Amino acid sequence: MSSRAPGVTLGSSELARLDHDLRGPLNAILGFGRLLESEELTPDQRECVEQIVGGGERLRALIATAFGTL
Amino acid sequence: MARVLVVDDDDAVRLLVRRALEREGLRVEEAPDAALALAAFDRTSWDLVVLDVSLPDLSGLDLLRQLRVVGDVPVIMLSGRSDEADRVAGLESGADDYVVKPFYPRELAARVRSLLRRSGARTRPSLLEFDELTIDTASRQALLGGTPVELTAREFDLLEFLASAPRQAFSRAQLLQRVWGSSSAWQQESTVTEHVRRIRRKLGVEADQSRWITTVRGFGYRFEP
Repeated sequence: MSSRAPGVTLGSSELARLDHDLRGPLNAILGFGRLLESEELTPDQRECVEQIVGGGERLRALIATAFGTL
Repeated sequence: MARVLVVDDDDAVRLLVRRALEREGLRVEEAPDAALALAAFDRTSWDLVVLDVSLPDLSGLDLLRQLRVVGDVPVIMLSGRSDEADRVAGLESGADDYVVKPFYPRELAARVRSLLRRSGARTRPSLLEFDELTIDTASRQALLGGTPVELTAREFDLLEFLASAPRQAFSRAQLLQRVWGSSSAWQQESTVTEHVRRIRRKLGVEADQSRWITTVRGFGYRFEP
């Protein structure tokens, strides 16, 4: 991604690229979080995993709002 | 056991897909680029391919077209692009399904199993029966004298893996690799020991280290039917 001065609007292809690039780490957060949820966990561990997955879902919603996708 | 090839240049995605599908009893191998994927096809046949649209050496769509020339292996495309045009291009290139990241591991696994059923791929026997112990690999339940045994996902994976190859000894390092998709380089082998202890306790044979899961001294474990 190229650096831009504050206030400069991204073009549609740059937005699409940013949308694409955000999905990789979001996929890891939500995917591994969901896998971990199905394991046998202590209450403290489960609370931590729920925070990870909950945070990931909020991030997913924010990205959906920002890009109109997902 | 159905064999799935995962082609993606992202280590985390390959690991996630592997973990999700190995829980379903599928055998999974990985290729980080198109060249290694094609080499894997030269080496052996596959029941299904999970293929990322963006690969470092060739586009996923081009690789898909090459695979379609030689056969009709079911293919699920993975993509970070959700545009209608991208989905249509993937499906028109011959993909059987199209999954957009971020995806849920269980949903992907369900799509894989559905495609495998439709394609008539080899599936493992759904019931492994040993006297009073029954392991139902379809419903992922272990029954002892008809009563369900409460196993975690990993405990079930380990029991099923050992029971699928009766009397074959596996080292703890092998089990870490095959069941956990991990390595003794970054995960302690005592993880295996602890899981075996828990399974034995749940099967009511904690005091008997030769019933069902037998300890092979200085090496690992084997399943005794």
